[in-house]
Amino acid sequence: MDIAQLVREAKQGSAAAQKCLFDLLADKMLLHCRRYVKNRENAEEVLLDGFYKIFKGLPAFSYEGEPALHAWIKKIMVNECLMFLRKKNAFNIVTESEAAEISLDAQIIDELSAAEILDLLLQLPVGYRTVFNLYIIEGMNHREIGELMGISEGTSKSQLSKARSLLQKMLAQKGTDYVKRKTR
Amino acid sequence: MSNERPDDASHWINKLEDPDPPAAEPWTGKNAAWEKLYSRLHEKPRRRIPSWYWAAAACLLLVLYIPVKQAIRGDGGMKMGGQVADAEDGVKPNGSKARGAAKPRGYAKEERKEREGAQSMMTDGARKERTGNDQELATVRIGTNKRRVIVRRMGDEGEKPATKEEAKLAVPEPISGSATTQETRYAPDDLVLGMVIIPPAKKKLRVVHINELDPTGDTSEPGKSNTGVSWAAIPYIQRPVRNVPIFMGNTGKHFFHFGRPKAQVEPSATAATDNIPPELIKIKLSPQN
Repeated sequence: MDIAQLVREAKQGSAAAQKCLFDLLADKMLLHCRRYVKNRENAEEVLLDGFYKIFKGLPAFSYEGEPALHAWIKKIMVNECLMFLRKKNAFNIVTESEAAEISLDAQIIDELSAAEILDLLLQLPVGYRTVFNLYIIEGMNHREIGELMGISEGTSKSQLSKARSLLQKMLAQKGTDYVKRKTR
Repeated sequence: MSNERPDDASHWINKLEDPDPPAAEPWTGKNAAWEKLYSRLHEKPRRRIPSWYWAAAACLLLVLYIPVKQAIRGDGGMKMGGQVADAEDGVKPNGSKARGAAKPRGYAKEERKEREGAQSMMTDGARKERTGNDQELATVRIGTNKRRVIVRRMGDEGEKPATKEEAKLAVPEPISGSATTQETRYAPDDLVLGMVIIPPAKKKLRVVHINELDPTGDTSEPGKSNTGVSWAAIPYIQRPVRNVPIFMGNTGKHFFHFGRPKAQVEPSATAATDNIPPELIKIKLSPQN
């Protein structure tokens, strides 16, 4: 069924259309939530809360294409994740040191699978991970991140720098492992 | 560091926004999660009970509480010629008219005058006692105090509210201590002609001059003076008080509280008080004692 048709029927309250939308988007959105929330059960709870808000807000949503729908749903999920982390008082970030430009080895990233990259991300502390996700994946600037997380712009930059540094170390480790694996 | 996205971001996005999610951890509880979400989506919102509902319930409870309390307190509530006890609370037996509508015209004026007075009496729930003089005593509540009043009733055998002159306040009479306390209840048709508040009598001793006492009474036994006032002399001080200071004032000479020096006593009073020993003080006893 066309996704526009699904959205139209789900707007009218059709449970079948809502189930179809859920099945279509749930896996991807769960992965999205897991980038922010490390614990899988918590990520599932956040996903359900997000879908509840999506279906409740669907009558007010005007469908203007699939990318817009995805962006809207993703935004709701990110907000739910941030709300969850804020409730858990996870953004206990006080450090604000000089941010250094650290570039990650793109070749190693390309050689790693999505699951391995997700695993790397989940090893980061929550503050680093959130800033990294919001900056790199969601494309927000530091001012927006600071407003969302309740931290200063400098702190956001510092967190991103530290996240990059940590990821570089982990990627170097992964790279050596990868080289070792290749040479065997 | 600038706010522009670095070049390596595309690599991360390409990897993480993979259309095929990593199959390392398949989501097995998808259907259960949907059931949970479906129940949340389609559960009926709980009806909120409006606040006026609680207010109405509270009023109803209050209305029911008063007659129930009256019925519990007054077990003789079904007396007075078959009138129901609920009539006391302003409900007429036939239930059609208000309480005041059952009263005759002559009484209505008197009642209005009483109401215009400063005191507002709550006669509801008053208890009446029948005395030996064919009068009834009622305990009424005035504010927070309870008073006993004499109540005359119209409508009893042989009494009719003929004129307005008859509907005057009853003259208070002393309350007999032997009044029987047969409790009856008001009914709306009972016509209270008047109420007089009798304040509790204060025991006041009459002040007598010392000359009124018996001059010959030098014993400690109770006796009677010339004027018939009982008195008794009690030993108070063992030693006569001498040389006490004399207080002078505008009104004349004032003596020390417990005695008076002989030199200052007037000659006319000396004769009456010579026989009284100095260590005795005479006090007057009231007839009740």
